[in-house]
Amino acid sequence: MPTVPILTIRPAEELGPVLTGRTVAQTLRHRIEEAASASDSQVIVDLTGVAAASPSFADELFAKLPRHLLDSGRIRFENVPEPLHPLVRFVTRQRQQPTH
Amino acid sequence: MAPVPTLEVKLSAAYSIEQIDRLLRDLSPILTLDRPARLRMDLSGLVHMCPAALSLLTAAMNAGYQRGLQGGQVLPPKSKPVDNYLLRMNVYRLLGVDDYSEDFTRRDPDGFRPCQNFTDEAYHVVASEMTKALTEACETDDVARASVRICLDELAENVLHHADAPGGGYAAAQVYRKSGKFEVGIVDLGIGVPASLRKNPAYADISGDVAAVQTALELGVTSTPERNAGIGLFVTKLLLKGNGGILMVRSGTATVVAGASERTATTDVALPGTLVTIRVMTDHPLDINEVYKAIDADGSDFDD
Repeated sequence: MPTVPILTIRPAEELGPVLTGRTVAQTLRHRIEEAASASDSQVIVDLTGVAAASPSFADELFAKLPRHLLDSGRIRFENVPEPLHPLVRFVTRQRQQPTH
Repeated sequence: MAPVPTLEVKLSAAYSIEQIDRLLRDLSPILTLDRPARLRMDLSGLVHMCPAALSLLTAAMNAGYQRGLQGGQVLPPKSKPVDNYLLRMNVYRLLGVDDYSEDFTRRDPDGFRPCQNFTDEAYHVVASEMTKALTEACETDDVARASVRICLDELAENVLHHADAPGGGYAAAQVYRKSGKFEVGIVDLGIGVPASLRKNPAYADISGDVAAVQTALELGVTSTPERNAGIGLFVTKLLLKGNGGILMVRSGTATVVAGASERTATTDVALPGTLVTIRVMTDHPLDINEVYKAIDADGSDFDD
């Protein structure tokens, strides 16, 4: 039975415990999207070790990911620290509203 | 060949956050320079320059150099401690004075950072450096450090995303141990908040610089909604309100102070660009996660 290739990305290991910078987040998001868009692949973004994130980073990483990749399970976030939940909810909700 | 005229500039007394407009007036010969001139700067009566003032001076001088300003004579402060402070903050180097002597031991910066320029993605390094100034001078927990770092990163990133400033941004930091304050000043000589915001058709009709700056501090307001989310300034404002500190934005003719105290003013001296400064109370809590909880709890209709 063929196995689904899984890529695990741990932002804290690459960027430190405080995630800041829209451009840094954009680069990470593109990497995640590319990997998830490959045939049958799955990407796990493991947020172990993340202590805080800036609004720009969160908006870029969480709110701009294509919904179909999240809904299909191609991209999964794991170990999202409790303090980050309000920010993730908020930026996601903001992007779903009409922009002006 | 015509002699190069002399440009006389005098800086005196203390330039705190509250005295930025006076500094703008005093620097106006440099900011409005349109031909080569040799600088003669009188600092004899200078008492202090806050980080925002240092950043503004640095930005003005570098812009002046681009327009033909030449370093020249500088009369140093009468006060030796003030003189040493300017040396530590590299002001004389900025003013093109090479023949000064330091009669103190220059140590690594502790609780302050001389003005640093950023023009690209290295802004996050500058934000990190400014944060270190705080942690060197007072005990901070991880949350407070992260909170300061996040705000400074957002403010510095705004320069690159919105200012259209060829010279980039300038940032300086200072901890005032006795009064329990930490200040960072970030300055650019770009297009200013009002002009930037009006690029978004939704805000094209905003009348007045104060209204434009106040609007820019609201949640979800940005000149570039496809790329940005308009959260950074709002979160910084709320964070400092909870801390007892302030956020001041000076752009065009507008001054807007938000946070624990609030005021607005329209002045007759326009700043060609944007000055953003934060004042953090170092003996009060600083927790950005509490701000995130608050904006999430209120849903989409947050009213601060």
